[in-house]
Amino acid sequence: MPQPSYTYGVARVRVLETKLLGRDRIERMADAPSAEDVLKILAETSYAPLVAEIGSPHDYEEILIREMKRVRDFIGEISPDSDIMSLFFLKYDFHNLKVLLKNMYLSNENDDLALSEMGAIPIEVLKAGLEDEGHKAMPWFMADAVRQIEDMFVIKIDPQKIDTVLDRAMYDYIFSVCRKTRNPFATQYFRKQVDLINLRSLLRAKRLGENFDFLKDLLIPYGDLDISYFADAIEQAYENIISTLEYTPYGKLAAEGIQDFLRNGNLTAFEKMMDDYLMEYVRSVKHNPFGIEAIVGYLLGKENEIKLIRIIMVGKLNNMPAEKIRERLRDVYV
Amino acid sequence: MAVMRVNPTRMELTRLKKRLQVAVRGHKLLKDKRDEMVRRFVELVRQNKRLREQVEEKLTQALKDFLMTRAVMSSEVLEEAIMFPSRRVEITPSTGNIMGVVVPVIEYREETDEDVSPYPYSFSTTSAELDGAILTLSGILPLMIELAGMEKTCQMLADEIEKTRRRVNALEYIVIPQLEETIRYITMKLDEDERGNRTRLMKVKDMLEEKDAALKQA
Repeated sequence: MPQPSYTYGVARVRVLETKLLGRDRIERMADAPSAEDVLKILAETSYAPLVAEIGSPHDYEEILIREMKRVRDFIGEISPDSDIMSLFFLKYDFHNLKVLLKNMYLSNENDDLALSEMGAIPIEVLKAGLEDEGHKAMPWFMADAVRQIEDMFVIKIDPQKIDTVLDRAMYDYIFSVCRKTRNPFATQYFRKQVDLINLRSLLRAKRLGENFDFLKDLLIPYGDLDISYFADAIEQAYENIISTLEYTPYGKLAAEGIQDFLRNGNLTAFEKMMDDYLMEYVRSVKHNPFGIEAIVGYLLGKENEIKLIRIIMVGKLNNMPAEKIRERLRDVYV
Repeated sequence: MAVMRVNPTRMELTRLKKRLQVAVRGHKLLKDKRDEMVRRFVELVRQNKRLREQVEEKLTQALKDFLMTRAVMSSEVLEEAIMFPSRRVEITPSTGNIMGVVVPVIEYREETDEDVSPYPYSFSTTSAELDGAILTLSGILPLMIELAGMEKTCQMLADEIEKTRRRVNALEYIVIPQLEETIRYITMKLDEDERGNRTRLMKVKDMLEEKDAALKQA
């Protein structure tokens, strides 16, 4: 049941925030000797009923999926403005669309698809939308992208295009909604997200020794950093990239992340810092009781928590050394 | 060594002698074949070992990378990212020949399309750790195919060596001694008959001479 005001939702979220896993719990889980012990620690938290239901630690994904679904339903129940909130779930819908499209072009009759149950749009709707001629069953912004892909694939089938076109379409839609609703928080948040993703794409393309032609399809407009910046940056040395970013909000992150990348040759630390940066931003604005900030914060905190548990569980199940797990652990929300 | 059950005749003797000749020549040829095969085999096995170690090391690395990727991405997103391969690989199996052994030769050709990106996923939803894993894996595929061919070759060669070795041994320790033994037996038997004949003749001659002498005296 949607609520008329944010204050109600924020109040409820505030209570639940205290139930998120704290730093110390995560630390304990990372230090646990085995996956069973991680589950034991998890059983002391709000995850207890879910932990009790699964048989072996290998089914941990089940816990995570059910917890996320619960969070989604809860957020749907308490948020007054579903337009803005649904932007934060859009990635799951687009994920499903990607899977269905790829499956269609692979023309296999595989029923066991990696679909996410977190999407706001039912999978049947997406399927029906793909099958009918004008794609009328699915939302217009998806239908447009699908048509674009179909036009492209008449000439040549390039699976990456499915992902890039749909990613672009997703952010097109997100920013159009942001403009319409004039929500400064959502706009800021997605801008930062796009910037960070673009920066990461830049570093990945550079690491693979690719040029701007390769990178330009992967970049997403709408960020604070302009596309022309990346066209220039890909030719630059890493040190120059750090210095050009120095006076942007990403100065510290870029300096530390890129330095670590140059030292270790991987972007593990950079990715962790990306997540931490966004989390930090949300945390800094979550005290507004009259907006979606706290609710989004809770959602992201929960997504982050799920990610942490997954990293720890995968690590423990595969006997990954504790420090390898630790270097991937993001900050917690609370 | 058992002697063959043959009639000790001159015909048989010639036949056996011919067989012995063939057996000796066959034995020599097979022995040469075996030696050469073993030489080639040792060479191949060494190569095989090197290749296998290489593949295993790289594979461990790639799987480790994938594990890391798996840890930071949810399984659906990871699966979506790699469900549609953007590269095609063509494999043409044919056969080669090592010392008369038909061995598999696998030809590997990657069809790269310049306009199609080698990464079948976008960079915005995937983790950077995936790039490394994909890169390592795509480097291993040709090696793995080569290894598959080489390992099968080694197996087939080993089988063939085993067979040849059995044949050489059978010739060396059974057929040839048996033939030699039989030949000796027939020769001795024939000689014995010869001697028997001669003694009989001599005896008859003695008897005849005795008879003649008795007639003359009478």
